[in-house]
Amino acid sequence: MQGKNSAGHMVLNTKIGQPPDGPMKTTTQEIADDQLIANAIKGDSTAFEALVDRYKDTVYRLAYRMVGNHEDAQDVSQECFVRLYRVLPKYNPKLPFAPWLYRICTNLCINWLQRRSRRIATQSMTGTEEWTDRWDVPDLEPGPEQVIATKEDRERVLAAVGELPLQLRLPLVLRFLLDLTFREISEILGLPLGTVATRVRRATEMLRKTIHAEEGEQTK
Amino acid sequence: MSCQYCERYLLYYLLGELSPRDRSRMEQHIRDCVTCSEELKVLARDLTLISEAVATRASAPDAMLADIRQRVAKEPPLAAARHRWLSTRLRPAHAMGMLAAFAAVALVTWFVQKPNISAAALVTDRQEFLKNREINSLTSGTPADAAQALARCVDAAVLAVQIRCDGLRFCGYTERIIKRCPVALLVYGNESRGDCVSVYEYPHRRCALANDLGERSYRGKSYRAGSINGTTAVAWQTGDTTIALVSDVPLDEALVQAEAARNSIPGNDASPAPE
Repeated sequence: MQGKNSAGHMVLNTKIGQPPDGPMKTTTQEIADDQLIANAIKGDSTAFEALVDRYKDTVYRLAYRMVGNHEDAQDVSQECFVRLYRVLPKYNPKLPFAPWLYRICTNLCINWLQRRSRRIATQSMTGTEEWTDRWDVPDLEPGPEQVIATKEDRERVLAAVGELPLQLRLPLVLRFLLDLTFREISEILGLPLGTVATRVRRATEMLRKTIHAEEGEQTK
Repeated sequence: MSCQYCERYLLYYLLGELSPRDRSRMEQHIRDCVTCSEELKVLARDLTLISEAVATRASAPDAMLADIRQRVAKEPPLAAARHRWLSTRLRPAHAMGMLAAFAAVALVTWFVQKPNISAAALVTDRQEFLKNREINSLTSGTPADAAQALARCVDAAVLAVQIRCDGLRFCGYTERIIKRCPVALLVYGNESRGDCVSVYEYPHRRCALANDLGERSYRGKSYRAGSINGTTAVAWQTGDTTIALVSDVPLDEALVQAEAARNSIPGNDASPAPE
């Protein structure tokens, strides 16, 4: 269930602010984001902690999918919330909070990945193994439409996601992990809507090539 | 709707990004087209796989919240931070903004306001430049040397330069001077490519040589003159030297300026213009 108040702030039962399979919480979770932010700015530390608690898993997952390992995801997530704390007084309550937070997170991920690529470049490492080794793949129970999707398939696709250029990976992850619309992604990344649509399409096409290349090999 | 269109937008259809009108058109096409219907199924399966692969049940470690709490505790309280932000960020921001505005106004003034260049100033400049060994030595200098020396001239708001010999070698710097100084006096020696004047057309950087300038007569004197997109050159010969006045005024006005300069430069072959 998803709900937004008039200003587009997420309230209790939102898909983005809550882990999809996490338990529903009460009390502070029933307070809208903008109210929590207002309280936090007034000095209410519990309000800020409630905000962190509400978004920590989503931010962590986004960071994890972007940087590829738990340690760095934790560092990026922590930094994201500390940054959030610093810039909270600048928050414009007329705009939805979640995209603003995701923007902070994606910027940190981009910085982290750029630093990492420089580091890798200097160490002459290949990134592929690192991605596949580090990224855990959910061991999902197959549903009626997913009978043929094995864990190996998902691992292969995930490895291909890790090899996507950053500019394609970021909108793809935002779309498929956070289930954001193109409009929301364009606002988070500061890109035109058409650019986001094109990048998601290109990323999907590249992943589909991986999927069908493997299928072709199996049928041979 | 064609299959080509359908194939292109199938992804957006499945992601729910099509408008209601396009969606209904797409659905109608899929109902009628077996090929696209099959493609839809394959794409839907692929997207499910991608979605499953990207999905993660990872949740933030419990320690993370404690770490964030610890780090935030070291930050100044938000209520205070708001005021501190005003004092540490906004005020410098204001100051920088004002500085930037001042600089912008100064720049606009510099570019828009044409310096009042008298003929005497031109004479002085020319004499100074004739004495200026640094500029003259540029003939054997590197472009970097030329850039440095000419930059000093520009910084000193000198409006005339003498570039001897290979004028084209220093095109960029000549161009820069013309850009910054509405009027530039270029004196070319006759040693190599001396007999040329470059007139630049911005931003395409096309240039015309003095030799390409048309013959013009003004107050009984012979000039070569021409204009490209508002940049005008009027050149005349004096002894073994071509002197050109390059400016951004219309050709008629440039001829008046050139005549004033020509009359005031000692040693010129010019005689007072007959009234």
